[in-house]
Amino acid sequence: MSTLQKRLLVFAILIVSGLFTGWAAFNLTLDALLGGRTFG
Amino acid sequence: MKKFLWGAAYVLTFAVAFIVGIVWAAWPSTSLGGFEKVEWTDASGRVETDIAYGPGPAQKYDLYLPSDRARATKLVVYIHAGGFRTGDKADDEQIAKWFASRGYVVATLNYTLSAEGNQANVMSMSDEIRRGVTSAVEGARSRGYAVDAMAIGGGSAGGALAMIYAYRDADQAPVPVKAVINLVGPASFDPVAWFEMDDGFASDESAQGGAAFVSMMTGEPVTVAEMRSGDYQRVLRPITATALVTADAPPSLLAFGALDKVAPFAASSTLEDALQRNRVPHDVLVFPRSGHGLNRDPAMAEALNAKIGEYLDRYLPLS
Repeated sequence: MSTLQKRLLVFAILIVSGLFTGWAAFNLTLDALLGGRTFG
Repeated sequence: MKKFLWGAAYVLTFAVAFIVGIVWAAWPSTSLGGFEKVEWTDASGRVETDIAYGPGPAQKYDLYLPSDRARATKLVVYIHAGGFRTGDKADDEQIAKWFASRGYVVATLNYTLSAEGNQANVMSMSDEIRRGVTSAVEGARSRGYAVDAMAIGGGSAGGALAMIYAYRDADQAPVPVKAVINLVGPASFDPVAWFEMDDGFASDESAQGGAAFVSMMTGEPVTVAEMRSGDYQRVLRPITATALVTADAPPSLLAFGALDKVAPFAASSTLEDALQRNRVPHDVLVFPRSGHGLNRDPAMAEALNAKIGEYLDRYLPLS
């Protein structure tokens, strides 16, 4: 795997994990404030 | 240096994705209540703000007056949310414009909010709403709108006040109240339901806490003995929608979040029984996965949207 490919992989992982944690953070905060359920 | 730049790029990428994730989660999947933003121009009508209905600084309302005056013979009163402590009639501008764009005269009311240094409570607010509604009907009529019927609605605290008006004060309304729409407004303020105080107020802590809550909501001093004997229910009754429902109550469209932590659903769960017992036409939409924001059940939100239109067409039809 070339350096470029490795960097692209890191970016992809960061984007996916950033999207998920942002989404989860909002929902968990909303849960704490308003009620509601995110995870099952 | 190069390593530092790559590190910064990684951090920035994660931060941007994190923010996009928040926006993604917050983006409404549907317009709750069907109150989507409407195009409002001079041709749609006009808005008059801060019309006084009493001497208090908060005792003001806004009137949304559709341009088709001959058709606009029905009034919709909408009361803002905010836990009785915050909020403003301007918060519901889009909702008011949505109703007005359908041809209704709309009044959004302010009321004196509970704050340090004042004695405002749900009882005093409901009295203000009663005066405000009378004034709004007079205000519409004085501007050439021959209002002959109305509906009242609101969100959260506003929904609670709308129900109190519809079930307690509708017989004093200047025009018949044809429907009430409540989004997540609590139907009672019984501390048993709000705080799961299930010990019959046997402990001093629960009795004192319950008494403080009832006193705060009603403005009436309540003793520990009254909590233990159940007499506090008498004090709460004038602001308890569930207890105020009679056979004359207007058709009621109600939406609740089953997981609501702000105004616990348990405080409203017996309202449907009261409406059924009194044979009042009603629809109770319980959003099973939602809390106070009603934001986790898109299918239910669609159903609520449809129901609001249905209630307007059926109970408050325009010519």
